[in-house]
Amino acid sequence: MNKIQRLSMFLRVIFQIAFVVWPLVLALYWIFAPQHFPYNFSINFIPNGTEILHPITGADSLWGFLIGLLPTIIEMIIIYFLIKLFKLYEQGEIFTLSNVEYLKKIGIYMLINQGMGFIYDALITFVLTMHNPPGHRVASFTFASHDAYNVVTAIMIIVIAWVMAEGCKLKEELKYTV
Amino acid sequence: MSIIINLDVMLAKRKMRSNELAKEVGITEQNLSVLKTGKAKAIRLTTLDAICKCLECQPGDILEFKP
Repeated sequence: MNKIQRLSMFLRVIFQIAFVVWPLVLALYWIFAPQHFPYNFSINFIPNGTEILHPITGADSLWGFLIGLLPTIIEMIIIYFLIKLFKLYEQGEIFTLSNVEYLKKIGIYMLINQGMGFIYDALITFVLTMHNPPGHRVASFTFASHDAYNVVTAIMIIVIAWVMAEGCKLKEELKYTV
Repeated sequence: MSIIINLDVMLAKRKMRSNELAKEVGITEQNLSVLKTGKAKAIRLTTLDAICKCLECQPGDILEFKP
């Protein structure tokens, strides 16, 4: 087994664990959150600066979890494609069209996730501030620099996938050149 | 594709085996099989030249265009 295959197997296992753990983290967060989680906790499902001026009820947590599922499902799809991609690398398939297809899908879903981030921010802030006194109820849309990085990264992945697809076609042609 | 490879016909005419041709031309048997089965997407002029020399034929005897 060469280095790429070994590393791919390691990463595949990590992503398989993440695939199971990620929705559990979301569920646990909303079971205990935000009372037991500091607001600046690194895995924070509530946008920074959201003023919650009332105790979070079970219904709020349930709504938070359900809304949180929207980006989580997209993230799980991305992780699923990463698992598939590294499985192919593990099998020694490196420059094939199926790899390129997964890479392209990862890029596209990263863009969708970014769009979903806006919807999520608006919905979660609305639900959590719904019971605030008038004047403190918000539905916020945020676009920070890291969002721009994510969009650029997603576009770069799509472009790289496109270039790789052309490379695969060339490789295929070379394979059948006698 | 409408290009037909008549390599089998020429091999039969010259009573030559595929592995002999592959050896003389300097390509692998797998590559010759790719050519014979019509899976090839391109043929190098050097390969065609070597095949024609070996089978004492013209490129048109091997390649045929059927619209």
